[in-house]
Amino acid sequence: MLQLRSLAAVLSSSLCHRLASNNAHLDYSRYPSLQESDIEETLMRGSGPGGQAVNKTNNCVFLRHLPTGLTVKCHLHRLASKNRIEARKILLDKLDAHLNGEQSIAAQLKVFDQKKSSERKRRQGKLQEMKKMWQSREMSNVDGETEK
Amino acid sequence: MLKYLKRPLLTLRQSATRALSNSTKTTATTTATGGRLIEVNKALNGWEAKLKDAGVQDTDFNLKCIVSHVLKRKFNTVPDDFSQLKFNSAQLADFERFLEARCARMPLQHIIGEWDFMDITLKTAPTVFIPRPETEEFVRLVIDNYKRAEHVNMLEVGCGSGAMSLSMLHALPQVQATAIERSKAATALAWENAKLLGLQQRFEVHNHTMETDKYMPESLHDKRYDLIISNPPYVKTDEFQYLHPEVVVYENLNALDGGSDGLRVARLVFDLACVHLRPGGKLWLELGNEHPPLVKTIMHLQYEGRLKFVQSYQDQYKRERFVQLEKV
Repeated sequence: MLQLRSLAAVLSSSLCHRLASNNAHLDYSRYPSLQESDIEETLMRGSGPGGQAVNKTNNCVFLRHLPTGLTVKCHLHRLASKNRIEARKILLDKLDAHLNGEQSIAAQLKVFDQKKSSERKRRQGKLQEMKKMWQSREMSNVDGETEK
Repeated sequence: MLKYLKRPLLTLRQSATRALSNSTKTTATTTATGGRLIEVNKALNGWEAKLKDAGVQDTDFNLKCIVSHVLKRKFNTVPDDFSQLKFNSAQLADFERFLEARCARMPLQHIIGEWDFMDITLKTAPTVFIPRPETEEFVRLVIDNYKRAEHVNMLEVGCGSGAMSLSMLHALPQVQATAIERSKAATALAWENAKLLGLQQRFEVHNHTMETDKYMPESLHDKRYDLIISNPPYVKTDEFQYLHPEVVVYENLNALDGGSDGLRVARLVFDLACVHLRPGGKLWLELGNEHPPLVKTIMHLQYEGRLKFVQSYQDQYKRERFVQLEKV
């Protein structure tokens, strides 16, 4: 149990970092927290002696969130130890989406990105329009000068 | 048993070294034939079955590690399906010779030449013991206990590649580490790793073999430490028959052989700690499955008034394997 508690500490500190570094438009108030006691973790190691006697490199980690039944599999990193932390991050995001739907951070980010891109499109359109107007004005100016 | 095992395994090892050392010749000829690219998925053809036939487990992971190493890319940036990835002919030759070596059961960590341990990456070298994942859990536990300490003067007995000491130094700036190591190759590797990680200011390593009444090198004979950590050899001699080829053929058995009960070297570390720990200082050990209760008994029977059993801990696979002792 001890090692799980320390892992949770690692996780919450990295989460705080994310909270601080991300933009202020997101509402984190509903973002769930993960209880280690709610998680069933499966580490692939197999039976038989461990430690020095074997040199296995299994990196895959499975998590099951018992209250909701959500599962996560993670083998992104070479080390199982890193995948254990990564898997908890993924589970948290999944849990957030599961509990909060439209209000989840992922959904908020999506809306935010959409807004950003439509705003960018609008600005681009406006710029284009202004350019065109300027061009036609210049043209007419030039025309006027040649007429003189 | 060991002798019986050795013959076919020896040829295994020879073929692996041959596969690895073929490099210069093959790359020279293939680079000359031009820069044709081949898709990684085509190059993989048949290798998974070959690995399985050779008894290698977890083949997907092995292949991905080797592909990312050949492409000089980080493991987590390589997609699982290798789509869009291509080898040039030199890379293809490397890829095949690495897989040939892996089929000869050379440890993945030796083929890649480096491996991760906690938050640091260490170079590996032939014959030097490869740090195990359980040891990460051990180090995490020790770090947790010394996070708030002001200054820690630490000694590691048998540091191998330097994994434990260097990850402690990396995590905790208040630690100063000294290590002793009996293997010359490992001593050199640990120092190299310290320099690569920029930790050499707070680290020293001495090539020394621990013996009764000559536990430490002459220059350190009157030193006292706040903390001693060690992952001494703890595999019992009669467990050697179960070892995998990766371990038996390619790793230095000195780093594993713990005698008939697995505690032969651990006993030397107990004696060393009696002399070189300051009163109240701690000795943390990573041992085998059945050792913690045994250590508790030994402390009661033989070290009364010198060392005290504090607590034992489980590794991440729920095996009780770590102990904390205290100098009285």
